[in-house]
Amino acid sequence: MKRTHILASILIAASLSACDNFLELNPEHQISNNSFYQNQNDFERALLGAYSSFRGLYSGSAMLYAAELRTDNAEIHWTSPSTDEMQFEQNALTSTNGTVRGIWNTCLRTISRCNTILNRIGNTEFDEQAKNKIIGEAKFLRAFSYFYMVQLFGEVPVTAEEFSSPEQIAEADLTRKPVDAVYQVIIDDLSSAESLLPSTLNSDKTRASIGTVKTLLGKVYLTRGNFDAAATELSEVITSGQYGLHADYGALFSEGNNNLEESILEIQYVRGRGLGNNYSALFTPAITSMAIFPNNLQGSGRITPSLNLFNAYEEGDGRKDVSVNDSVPLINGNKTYARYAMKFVDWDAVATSDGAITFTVLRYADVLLMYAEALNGLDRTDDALAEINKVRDRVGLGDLDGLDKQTCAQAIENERRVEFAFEGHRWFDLLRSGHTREVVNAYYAGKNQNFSVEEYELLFPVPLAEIELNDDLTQNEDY
Amino acid sequence: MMSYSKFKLAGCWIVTLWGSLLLPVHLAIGQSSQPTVIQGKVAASSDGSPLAGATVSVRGTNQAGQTDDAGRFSMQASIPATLVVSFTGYLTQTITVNDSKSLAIELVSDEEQLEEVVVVGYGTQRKKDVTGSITNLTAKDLVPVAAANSFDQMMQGKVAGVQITQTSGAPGGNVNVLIRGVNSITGGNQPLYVVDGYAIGTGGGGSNLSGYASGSYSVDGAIDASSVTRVNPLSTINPADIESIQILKDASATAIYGSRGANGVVIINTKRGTYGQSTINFEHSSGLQEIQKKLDLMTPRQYAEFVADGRDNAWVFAGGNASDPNDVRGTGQYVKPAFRNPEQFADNGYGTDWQDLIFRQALVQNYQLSATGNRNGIRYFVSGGYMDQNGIIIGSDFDKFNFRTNLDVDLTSRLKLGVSVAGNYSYADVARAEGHLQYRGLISAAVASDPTIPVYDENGEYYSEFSDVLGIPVEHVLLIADEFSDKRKNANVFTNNYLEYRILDGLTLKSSIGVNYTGNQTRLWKSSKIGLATSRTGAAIAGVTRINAINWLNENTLNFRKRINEKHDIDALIGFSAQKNTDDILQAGATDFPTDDVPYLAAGIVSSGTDYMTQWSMLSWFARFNYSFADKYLITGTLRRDGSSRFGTTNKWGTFPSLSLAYRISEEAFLKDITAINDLKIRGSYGVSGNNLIGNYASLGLLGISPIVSNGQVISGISPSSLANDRLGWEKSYQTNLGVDLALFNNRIVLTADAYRSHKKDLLLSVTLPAASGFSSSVQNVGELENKGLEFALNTGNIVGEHFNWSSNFNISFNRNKVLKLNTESARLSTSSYQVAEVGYPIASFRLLNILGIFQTAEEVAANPIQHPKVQPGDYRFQDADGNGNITQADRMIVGNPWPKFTWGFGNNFSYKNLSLSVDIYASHGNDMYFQGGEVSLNAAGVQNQLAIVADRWRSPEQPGSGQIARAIRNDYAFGFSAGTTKYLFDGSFIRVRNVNLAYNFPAAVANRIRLQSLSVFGNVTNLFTFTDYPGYDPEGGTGGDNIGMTGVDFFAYPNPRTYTLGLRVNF
Repeated sequence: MKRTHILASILIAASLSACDNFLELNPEHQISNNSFYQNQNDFERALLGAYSSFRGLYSGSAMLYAAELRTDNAEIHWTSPSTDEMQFEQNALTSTNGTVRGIWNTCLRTISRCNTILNRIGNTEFDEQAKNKIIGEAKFLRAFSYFYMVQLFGEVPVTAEEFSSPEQIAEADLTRKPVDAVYQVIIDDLSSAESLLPSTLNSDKTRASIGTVKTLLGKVYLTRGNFDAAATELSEVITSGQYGLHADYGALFSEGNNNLEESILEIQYVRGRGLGNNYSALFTPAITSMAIFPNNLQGSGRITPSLNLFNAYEEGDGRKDVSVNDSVPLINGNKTYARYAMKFVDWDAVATSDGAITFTVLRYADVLLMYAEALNGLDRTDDALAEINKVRDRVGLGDLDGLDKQTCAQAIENERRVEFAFEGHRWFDLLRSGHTREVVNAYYAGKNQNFSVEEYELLFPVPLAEIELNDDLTQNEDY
Repeated sequence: MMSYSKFKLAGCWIVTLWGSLLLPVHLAIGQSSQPTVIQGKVAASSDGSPLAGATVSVRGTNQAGQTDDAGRFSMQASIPATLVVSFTGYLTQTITVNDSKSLAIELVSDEEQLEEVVVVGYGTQRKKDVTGSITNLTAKDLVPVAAANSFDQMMQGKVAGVQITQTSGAPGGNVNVLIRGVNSITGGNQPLYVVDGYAIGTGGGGSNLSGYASGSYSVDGAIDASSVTRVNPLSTINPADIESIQILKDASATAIYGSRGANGVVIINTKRGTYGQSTINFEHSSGLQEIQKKLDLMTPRQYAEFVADGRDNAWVFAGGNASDPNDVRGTGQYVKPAFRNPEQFADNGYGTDWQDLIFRQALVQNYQLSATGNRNGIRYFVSGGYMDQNGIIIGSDFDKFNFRTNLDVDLTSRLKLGVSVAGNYSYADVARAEGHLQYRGLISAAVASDPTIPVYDENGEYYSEFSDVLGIPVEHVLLIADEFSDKRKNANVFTNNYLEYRILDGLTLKSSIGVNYTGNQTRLWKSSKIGLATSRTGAAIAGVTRINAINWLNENTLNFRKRINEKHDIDALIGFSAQKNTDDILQAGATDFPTDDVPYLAAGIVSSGTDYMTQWSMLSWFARFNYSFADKYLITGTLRRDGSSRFGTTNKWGTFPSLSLAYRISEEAFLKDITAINDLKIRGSYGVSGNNLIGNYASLGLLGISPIVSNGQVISGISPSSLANDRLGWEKSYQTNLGVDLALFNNRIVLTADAYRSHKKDLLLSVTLPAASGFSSSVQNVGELENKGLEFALNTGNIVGEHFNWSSNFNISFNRNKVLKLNTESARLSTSSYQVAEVGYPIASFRLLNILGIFQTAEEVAANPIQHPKVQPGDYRFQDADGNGNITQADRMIVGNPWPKFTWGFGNNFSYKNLSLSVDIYASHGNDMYFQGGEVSLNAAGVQNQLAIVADRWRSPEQPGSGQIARAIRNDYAFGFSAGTTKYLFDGSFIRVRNVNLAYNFPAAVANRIRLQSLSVFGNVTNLFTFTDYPGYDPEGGTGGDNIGMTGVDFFAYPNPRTYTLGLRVNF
């Protein structure tokens, strides 16, 4: 009798153990891969996920080190720079530089998120227009990331696959593709996005509209020296009437600059949520008794304007006083000399690494100056000057005229330098004009510094860690 | 809701099981029989002398009595009855009585008995029958280390094959226990701990402190950092409650624990009541702790010279002249005017030694009260304890309360019930001791601070030159101590209950169910008076983490033991177990505090938070079969099948078998006559065990939240966060063990030797994925590694006399670890910033730029590969490992590893009459340590204060110094102070006099006069001496916590103190 009871109970336990669902535990607090990507909302959210990765390029220091610190615009004014930072200031990058790897990873992560969206969206049914908009924006983000990478690294891996198992990744072709092929992918993506996105302007400038796509495509063509195509794209942006120059240049970089008419693509920030930017720390001096912030906050002086940049502003240029400064008010009422940049600095920040001022990735002045560059490239120098003068007019500078093609090109380069100082354009502008080594090496010589940009240093090294992962990944020459 | 219903489902079957078990209980209790008088005599088996005061009880009733002076007893009982006869110093005997004739009972003395019993998984075994590799520690081995918060500290140096490292000397700080080397690269390496049959999981628990300080500046960082375990979870088990500890080392012993046995198993048995005399035990000790050694730093004068030297060299490097004034230099090259006249600073003895501000002499107190005995058939052990330990660094403090009740009741002659309830509550103040001074690591700040400046200014305020362009950016250590706080509370309630039913003689069914509940709270705070890395002040932030963990376990075993024809011993077991664990985690953080006075979230703006739950479950079947023939040939086989929620859908269940054989040669006729040999046994085993210590949902493809800001609002995007892996499975350990046990000369010499090889396969590696995949890494079963080793343990009774006794125990272990396979042939996994796993080398080998020497001349520079065109004499000469003619990070090479070539422990016990002295030594040889603190205090950068050896640096070819330290220079172009060079790698070998204990037992007559059973007093010194060449505070220190891949990296870990203790122990 007793024994049968016991046996029965063991059998009960045994039969229950056969229920494997005791071992099927899913995280209740997380979303599973398999149950998502079903409807319009899911894809909207996935697209925001791609934008979130894209933000990573700008929110920290990566883009500013890559495009400003390496040029004649900026230098480190901080007693304890890291090796990584020094390498940027001195144009002596190595393949172990963490910031370089960060840029590589961020771009490819954004691309991969776009790939997931583009691969999955075909299998779902929802409103065609909404779907096209998502596809268009995903293609824009993918193109933007490849464009950024190809300018910095040259050849890069290109894939449109979505990866869902270790085996698939092991079998994939992730070798670097020739620069021309990468540009073809970029142009295809942007052309496709152009045809998919609605012609109306998205009032939320953190998202790409058709004008954003055309602006970027214009920049891509310009970079490739295809002035004709560039001029076409950019003139379409201009004639669309969707954008315009904001009257107050200073307002572009301070509190309340969300969704201005000049903004074409922007990244917004809020304080205290881990979604702030780092500009207030990067641009302002490492002086403890400053009175420029509340709470006696201090910057880090990691990217400060060079004297060379100060001198690049023409007399009477209204941009200078709102872009850079060399006088720091102190708590005791005195002032001390230290150069610092003022764009995007959040003067009300609670922590300097947590600023809330919107950063503008692309804006209308860029379109005008690029258009000028394209026109000048097409030997329409007088038309080009008219575009430049629109930008100069706003800040109280007199018109340029009577320049020849070469001096006009130089004028555009100069104009861009002061117009977009500390906005992450300088390095790319110099690359496009072919002046990088000439300008930066002269700048070092002017400072009596023994640094230089060598020909091979016009490209980043491929991160060593990535090469160690993938034997087929080649390193750029001389690194 | 889903998991709740599953819990109910699981609960259901347990209730069913228990219900069906209880039915026979009622049947058994309901049986009736005739009461009879039972009488008899109890005597010693050795000489037949009567034993007075022996306890005789009738199992299953509350009948009990004691023998009279003639050893006689008499009592009423219903036959058939089971008598239990016990007497202190003798083995308890159980006798079945079927009639009323007078009984003659002989008890066997403990000492005559060689049949030491050890606890193995799900049962016990006579030690002589053990075929695997098991070390048994009993009360006599576990001399309480006065300041020991957790029992693992007491095991150090006592077990061959077990490396125990106390990486943090903070009260309640981390202890790493490695059984037979590193078994896993990324999975956990801590053994499985089983307390009274309940697998409580592992120690450690993510105490990695390396990233601790850096993150805690933002609200999110404060939240993250508050999840870091800083209190050893094993401290919930009161060391004073422990009866014995068994360490299962080879697969034969651990395979019964299947997928959790690969790292070894530590079985802990708490004290339980016996049939013997009842006693109440009180113990108190008080101790004083102090730093073992302070670091020898540069004198004020040396410091002033050093700063000027480093900055002048930097200015010259930048193209200037050493005599140029500050106003033409960059700020990094400024020299404080006072430092131009270093003679004004004394050579020694003057100035501020900032170490004196953070280290202190600190008290530790321990009170333990327990009662044990037997009343009305209920055996009990009840204890309570309180421990209060202040740390040797200001602001660190740990208080702990422990309670335990263990009851065993004979319900009937066949049915036994046991109840254990243990509770624990602790609260800790944790000092911000470790890490870089930029993150306000206290030790690093104290070592780095300028010795020429005072502690207070003329107004009595803290003095610091943090914000002075001529000063150094080191925050005042007392401000750090004042303005950060880290408070931890932990409450634990553990109950485990069993029913044991003897179905037939030799056949026993046991079912147990237990619940372990832990509530844990961490509160971090940084006031607004202290700042970010480069800022002096910054907004106040607070972060709170609460974790509720509930773990339940049901185990059911059926055991059959039988001796047939006096030759065949059979012991067989089958069992089933189910276990589930749920952790609920709630975290929040706040900032914008209007005042620093109220550090609670309510006083600020809550700006960040999360809430999540994580679970795992396991189902297991297991079986073991022991057979011995004539005590000569022994065989043990085990088999376990484990199913776990953690693994991929195609790999849910794993099977773990083992087989072991032993041959007791001493039982052979040709050896039986040799009286010198008491025991000689050879053993061999082979088996497979597993390791499942990875994340709970690692096999699933999951999505995470990626927020962005749009139109000023935060909105959540979604993005892939982990790559699915359906094939994810266990790590497997294939282990072979050969051993010999030898006892000679009346057991005066007892030797155990073991040789083993374990081959780990399918190791779970976080394989870094190409960035183009969109994932940074994924967990895969790809690695293989090997541990080979030898272990010897020797116990000797050197002098056995009437009054004077001297016994020794010595153990030594050799382990070699080698990575055999990673995801690719050439793969190299970083296990820390300085360490890698690479095929052919031990795991966590140091991979660094190798310094060959210091350039003395320009010709030498020109003739060698260099890293920068401006390398000059006085800079380091590095090895061009890849031979490409220049020095880059690619020239890092494997230069050492943190694993000792061998470790040994040597204990000596002396006793003379009532006085006893024990001295324990523990040593580790051949392990390398990366002194990360050197990146601050050996960098020769001309900024922070340095270890005194930097004063003997290179200055010119004529003054080359010690040859160890390059010239001082503020620039790092020549990797002079770069992290990751052999400059910071040191031999971490040490010999430590771990414990000296002197005790006096008052004679029984004295104790009895004051109505005590016994009274003893003791004095104890822990960490009396340490012999080492390591330049940091403590060669055992490590900031990687239980992250084994970071073993041997010391960024100013909290040093282990020296402790002087006095105590007394009373029984009444």
